[in-house]
Amino acid sequence: MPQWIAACEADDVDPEDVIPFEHGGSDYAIYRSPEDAYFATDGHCTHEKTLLCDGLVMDGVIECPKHNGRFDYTSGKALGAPVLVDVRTYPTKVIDGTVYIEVG
Amino acid sequence: MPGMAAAPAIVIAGAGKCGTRAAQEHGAAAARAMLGGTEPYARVPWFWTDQHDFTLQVAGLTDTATGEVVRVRPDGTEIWFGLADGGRLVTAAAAGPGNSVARDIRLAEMLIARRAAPDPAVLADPGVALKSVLRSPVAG
Repeated sequence: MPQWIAACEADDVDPEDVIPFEHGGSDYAIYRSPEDAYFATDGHCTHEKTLLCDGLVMDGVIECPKHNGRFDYTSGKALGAPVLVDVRTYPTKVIDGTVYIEVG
Repeated sequence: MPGMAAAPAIVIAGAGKCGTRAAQEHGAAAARAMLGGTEPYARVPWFWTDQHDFTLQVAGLTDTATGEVVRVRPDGTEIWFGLADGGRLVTAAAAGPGNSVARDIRLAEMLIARRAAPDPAVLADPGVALKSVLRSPVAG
């Protein structure tokens, strides 16, 4: 059953950056674009399950810190080897300065 | 050997730097060469190793540095930058828990690739994001 979960405060994430969020035993990554739009993906790279939150966010892309797998964090699309599987994305919304993601 | 090309699963590229990304890039370079390309392989060497809960990452060739700058981050992690004569950034290294140094070393690698010569005071200042240095005119 999908549900909206408060993930963080909007200011917790710097522009063009990512932070980790854990809920119910699952890891997520919360992104803030340079335009202050918020996005969420699974927390782990689809290549070798490395946490994406330590990776570099630039130009709409999150790059895994271990093997440089790259994803479009707005769509989850894998952008080439070594990542061949898209990362799952989650809807987000911001209400009164709190970022929510829809999980489940 | 003329007429031969290798597309390896893992490679060593310059002073022991190796890894799967280098292997991937070497494979692409080998393919370009087989198709008649003459562009030399010139990516910045990059290396990481996990040691228990810590990861060491190195970008560039440490033996090309003649000067050094150290950035001490608020979490206590030290990022070591090696500079060549003239101030050009040629190498960077750091060790920290988990993958906590990966982002800074990746940005340093991109600065090295651009042959940037950042102000040493800026490199030493943990209050200045390396991403902003990369996007400054000094980064080329």
